[in-house]
Amino acid sequence: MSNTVEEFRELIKERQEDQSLDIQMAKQSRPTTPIPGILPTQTTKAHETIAITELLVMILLHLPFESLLHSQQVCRYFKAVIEESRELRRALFLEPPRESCLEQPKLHPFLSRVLCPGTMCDAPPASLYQTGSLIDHPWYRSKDLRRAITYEKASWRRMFPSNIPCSVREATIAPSRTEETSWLAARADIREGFEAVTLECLWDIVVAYLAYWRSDKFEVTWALADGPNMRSWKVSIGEPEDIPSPTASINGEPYMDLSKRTLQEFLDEDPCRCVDLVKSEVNEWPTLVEW
Amino acid sequence: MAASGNLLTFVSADNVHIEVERDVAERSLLIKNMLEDLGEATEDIPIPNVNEPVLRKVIEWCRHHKNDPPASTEDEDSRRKTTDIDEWDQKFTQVDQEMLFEIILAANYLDIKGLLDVGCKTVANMIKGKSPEEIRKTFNIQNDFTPEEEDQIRRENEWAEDR
Repeated sequence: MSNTVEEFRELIKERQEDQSLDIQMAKQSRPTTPIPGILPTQTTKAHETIAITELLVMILLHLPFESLLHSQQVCRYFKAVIEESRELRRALFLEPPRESCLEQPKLHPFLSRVLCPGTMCDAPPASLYQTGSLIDHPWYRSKDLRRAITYEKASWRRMFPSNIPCSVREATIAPSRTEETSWLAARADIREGFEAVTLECLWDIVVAYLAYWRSDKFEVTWALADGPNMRSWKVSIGEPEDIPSPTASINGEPYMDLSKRTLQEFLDEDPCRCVDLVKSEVNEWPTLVEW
Repeated sequence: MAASGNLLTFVSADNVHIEVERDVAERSLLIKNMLEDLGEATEDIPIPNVNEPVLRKVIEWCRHHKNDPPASTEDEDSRRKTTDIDEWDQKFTQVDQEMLFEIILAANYLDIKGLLDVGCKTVANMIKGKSPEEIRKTFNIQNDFTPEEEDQIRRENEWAEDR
């Protein structure tokens, strides 16, 4: 009977602890012992290699994003190794961005693949405009793809948009609401301001934007800001410049600059604000955009 | 046979004596550190776990790369980025799968970073673009997921599948 993913993770954790102990004791040779109980019979050299967790990590680190993502499906041990390796989690954008300015900024492939097709994600320029138009997205027109992408447990939702910190500087969202609207903040998991946004948070803001303006076009602006210790992205979400400003279309009410407030604060500010969109619309985005 | 001057003698696991120049042997951090501790190596150096054909391959690699600059300690980004392997190394790694993994295990044991990287990249290239089932077949790995577990992981990552 094979170990569960959880049992493998425990074994890998123990191993990591043993090794930091080895380093303290100045035994710095390379790890050569396999993790126990991984493969039923260690018959081949491939098995022997893969069973040394550190070597499997070194191999997987060379994989491009998609291949690494799908290699979690190989077996429970692979899944556990990927979940326990900080470097691999970082390669999958699952670790919060590091406090370091040494890495070249990268954007998550989800952005070029789904949200704004055609965007440069590997070496983005310092300032990037991504214009998305749902009806032009190939995935949006296919029911199967839409189901796969909007799946509530889809892995991209837990991932971060970049390897460097992102903060949403501005979002032009509904200046009003009907009843309970804190669901948006809850869903977007915005608790500590707009720092460390996940892709899901970004997605929810875009969806709220589209739902509110009854639009299918949006623009995400990425501006690289140099901080004292690190670089970060300032993200704005709004309407593309070439279509009429939604601001004009709604009784002249100016859209909100959320630069200094959290979305939650903004929504809580005035209980009379009514958002012209229904909860279910956002939760079921595929139907939302089928008006 | 004892080593003299700039020649060392490795003894493989299957007890074959192989002469190797000291600067070539020092591509291995394990050997380098050992020689520093010993000062002068006057005796044969046993390399347990590594058989003659593998040891000869490893030495061949070290000899070709003996003038490479020492590997920088943590150059994470460049290491992750490229799966490009230079032409000589590509030819070098065109061996059967068992030998490739033997080389990786030997490079790991002897702590030869460059060779370990080349080996890992080669394996990564074998995995790249393959479906989970193809990866299992390639390395003879058993699928130990329950159908429910597997379906769950597949659905979570379906958004990134190529179509």
